Amino acid sequence: MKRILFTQSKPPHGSINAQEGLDAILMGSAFAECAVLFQGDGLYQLLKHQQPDDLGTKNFAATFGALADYGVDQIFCTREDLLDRQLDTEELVIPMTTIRQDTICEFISTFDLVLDF
Amino acid sequence: MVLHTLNKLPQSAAAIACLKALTKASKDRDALLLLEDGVYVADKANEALVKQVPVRVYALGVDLEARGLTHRVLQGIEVVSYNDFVQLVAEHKMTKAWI
Repeated sequence: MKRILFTQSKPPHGSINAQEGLDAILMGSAFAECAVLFQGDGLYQLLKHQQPDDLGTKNFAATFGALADYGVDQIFCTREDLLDRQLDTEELVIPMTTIRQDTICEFISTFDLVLDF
Repeated sequence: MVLHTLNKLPQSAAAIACLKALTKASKDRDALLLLEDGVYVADKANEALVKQVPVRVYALGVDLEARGLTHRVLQGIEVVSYNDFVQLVAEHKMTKAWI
């Protein structure tokens, strides 16, 4: 089975990238083994207590909680990206595996395909 | 083998993340293609930045020409055509776009 890495690198609500990426992950999970790497400002997608109702955008952060039900349980970020933003994993809607920034190229190369959002 | 592509300005978050990651890349496994605004990374002003990256670096010729950068390209960076771009994508197992 192909292993696909999705990277989520844009913050939520300012553009459609994050939500498009999430939709792609959910679809991808139907036919491949999927993992997700939250990079840089993409981590802000996972912050708890998002209330975009008045903006008119969807609060899709809640949907990340369903990823495990879709068999997507490999969720990664770098500890450097967390530290740069003073984010604690407790403040995020799903648990993450942290990897080291200096291993990121090697990490990416272990997949069959990478799709960037 | 992974072809990394960068289409953002040198000071952008995407470029900073990309170049930081590539400082720990492997010459045998990774390569970097600069295109669109990413070609500004190939400018001689960014020698120190590019020197830290131990992989082969390519820059798309049309994007350099459009921006008046052709004569300012750092030595060691290979200027490529659209055909070369396709060739590079085909040669590598996958493409990682730093967007």
